[in-house]
Amino acid sequence: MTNKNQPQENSFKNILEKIENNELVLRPKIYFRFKLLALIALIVIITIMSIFLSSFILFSLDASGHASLMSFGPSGWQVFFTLFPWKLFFIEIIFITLLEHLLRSFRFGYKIPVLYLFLGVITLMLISGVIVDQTPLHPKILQQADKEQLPPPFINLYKDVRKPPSNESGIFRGTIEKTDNLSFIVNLDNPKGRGTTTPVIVNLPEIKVGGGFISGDRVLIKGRLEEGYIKAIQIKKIKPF
Amino acid sequence: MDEHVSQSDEWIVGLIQKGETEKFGILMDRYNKKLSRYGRKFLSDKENIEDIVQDVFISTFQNINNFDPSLTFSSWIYRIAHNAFVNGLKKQQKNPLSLSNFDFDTLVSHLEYEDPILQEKEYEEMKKIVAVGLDQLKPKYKEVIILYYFEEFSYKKISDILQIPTGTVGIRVKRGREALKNIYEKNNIKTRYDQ
Repeated sequence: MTNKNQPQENSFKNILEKIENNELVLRPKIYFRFKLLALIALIVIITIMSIFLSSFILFSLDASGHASLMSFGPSGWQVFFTLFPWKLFFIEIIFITLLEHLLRSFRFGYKIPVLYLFLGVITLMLISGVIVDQTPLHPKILQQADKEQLPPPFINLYKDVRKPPSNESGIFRGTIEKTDNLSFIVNLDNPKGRGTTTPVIVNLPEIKVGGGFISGDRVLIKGRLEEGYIKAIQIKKIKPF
Repeated sequence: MDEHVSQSDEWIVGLIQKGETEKFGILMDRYNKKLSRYGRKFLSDKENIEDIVQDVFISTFQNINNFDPSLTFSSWIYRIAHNAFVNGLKKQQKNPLSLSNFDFDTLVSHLEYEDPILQEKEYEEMKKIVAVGLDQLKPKYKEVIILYYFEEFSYKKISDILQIPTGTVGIRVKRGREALKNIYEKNNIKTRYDQ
């Protein structure tokens, strides 16, 4: 029996000898504290990035008027899904997954079922995103982008907010210059970004327009482009930039 | 070492952290057989097991300042050992991901309690029969069955060792037990309670 356990006993003696001779030493507490701090810092950075991104997605949908597309029925939904910032959405999902994974390093994290933790992180990021979207953060950054004072990739990100749907989609975005009962004159947004194009007349034969629209309103129009006119089917007021 | 019998593992860890590093020998004495026995459930090569146990002790010693006092020392050292044995198993297997495949059991919560009546009735019986059918179980059931029936850990401690929710431990023990019974039925082996 003694012989059978001899190699293992020797290896334990070896470990104890190494401990005694300081060849095997304890990692200092500070090492683990730094490691923990680095992990917390990483979580904080990813959380900030994730909240920024989720609030930017909400801001871009709101500011571009794309969120209103859904009220235009199936064709509006189709354009909405085409214009939805999918790339940013998938980056956000990566951030959330990463965050969920990092939180599982903590005891409270692995005690919670994966799905619940994931949904919890998504909800938290969404609520934080909505709160940040209510602040002037993104409009201010958009102004910086307009002045070309932002570094890439932020400048491109914010410039994209101003891009309207393509004319082929049957959705037009612009600012009302003049109104009467049967038509509007609308300055359509420049597809290349900031500013407007030549004003177009928007005929409104198929819809009743109440007194809700005035000059200066930003609108989203669903309609057909016919010989220089837009024959509107639906029209919706959107938030000004 | 007899004078240390009444001292808890956590107490000894505290002494080591304060500089009495020679006390680590007591912990090696206490866990040597347990970890080797645990390793045998994963690996068959005795030398390999001994090497891994030695590495586990070295790693435990080096990282002892990272011991989380909210856990028990046994959960903590088994966590280190579990990872080491799983890595050892991965090196042996052709499919190294077989133990870490995504598991739907961890997705949602499961209400599973350690039923003391059921435990009393089935525990000893299961302990005897699991030894035979163990190798035929899926790894995710095998590991909880080993920890529950052989190492005699509670669901809570297994949850800390495997870093999965307690409810998931419960559901895996239950499913593992059912799977073992199926294995027995297939092989036409009757347990005492079937007779």
